Amino acid sequence: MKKAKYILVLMMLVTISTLQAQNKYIDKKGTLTFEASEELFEPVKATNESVTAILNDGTNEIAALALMKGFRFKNSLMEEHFNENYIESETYPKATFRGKLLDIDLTTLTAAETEVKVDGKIALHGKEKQINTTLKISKSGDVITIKGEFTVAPADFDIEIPSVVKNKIAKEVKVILDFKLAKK
Amino acid sequence: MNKKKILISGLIIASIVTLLVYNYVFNSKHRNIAEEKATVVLTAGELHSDFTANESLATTNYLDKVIKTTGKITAIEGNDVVLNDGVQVSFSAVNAAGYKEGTAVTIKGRCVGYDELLELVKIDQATLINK
Repeated sequence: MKKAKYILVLMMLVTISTLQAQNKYIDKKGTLTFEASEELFEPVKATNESVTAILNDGTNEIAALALMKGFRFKNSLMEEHFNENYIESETYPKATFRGKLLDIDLTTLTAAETEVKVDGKIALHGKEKQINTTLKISKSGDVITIKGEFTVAPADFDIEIPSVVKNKIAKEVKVILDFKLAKK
Repeated sequence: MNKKKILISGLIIASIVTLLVYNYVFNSKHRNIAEEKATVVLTAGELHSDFTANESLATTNYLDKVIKTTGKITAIEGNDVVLNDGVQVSFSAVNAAGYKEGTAVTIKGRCVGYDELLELVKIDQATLINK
């Protein structure tokens, strides 16, 4: 009798969890650009076109990962310096973001862009930083598009900029993201 | 008069050399992965299991290296393909070679690192070696 009760509870739990089925949306080829250019100097800008992003529409959790070696600069010397001297990509090969979209029901998204607040942590160069920003989100068919930009400071991640190039690199680095996440 | 000539030509040569050196250092070209020789040759399965077994060791061994690898195409997305569900390969050009899902291919490209979210090793600037 007791056993039957347990089985019943178990079955109910299984039913509930399938009712609240969560969908994962994945982008394997997201775009992340950062720019730390100063006027009059050569642009300091790089783009990574193979950023991973995962969004769970049940929990609103979002995670993204960019491999540092995937950032391509126009100037190869700048790319070398970025990898070897600043970001130290052999020791810290990736940047990650883990967070949550706030106050939004992802199942009600439409093709019209909506603003959404996001709260999370960026891990980069062995350091973590809390970040709150606003992104633009929309959905058409089975694809959720997330776009936005925010700024970070190299100092937040213990990235030292030598005084020789200090005035050629902006103190605030602009980060622009563009993810197209497909339902999996 | 003669001394002056030598001095002037010397100055011209020196400035040309300076320009060339400057150009070489500050405007040097990007690596051309397609023309570089692969320094690491292994299967897509081996590459993936090396990263899952010991990520930091695999990073030291493979990061930024030109890798030649063989595997079965398990997914195609734009100009990216996934080999053996474990290695994401980003080609420089969109599917010009006409590869298909389920076929085995050999590719050459640069290892960019390991993506633990999708559990994929990433390779970029790849070229197809054979179908």
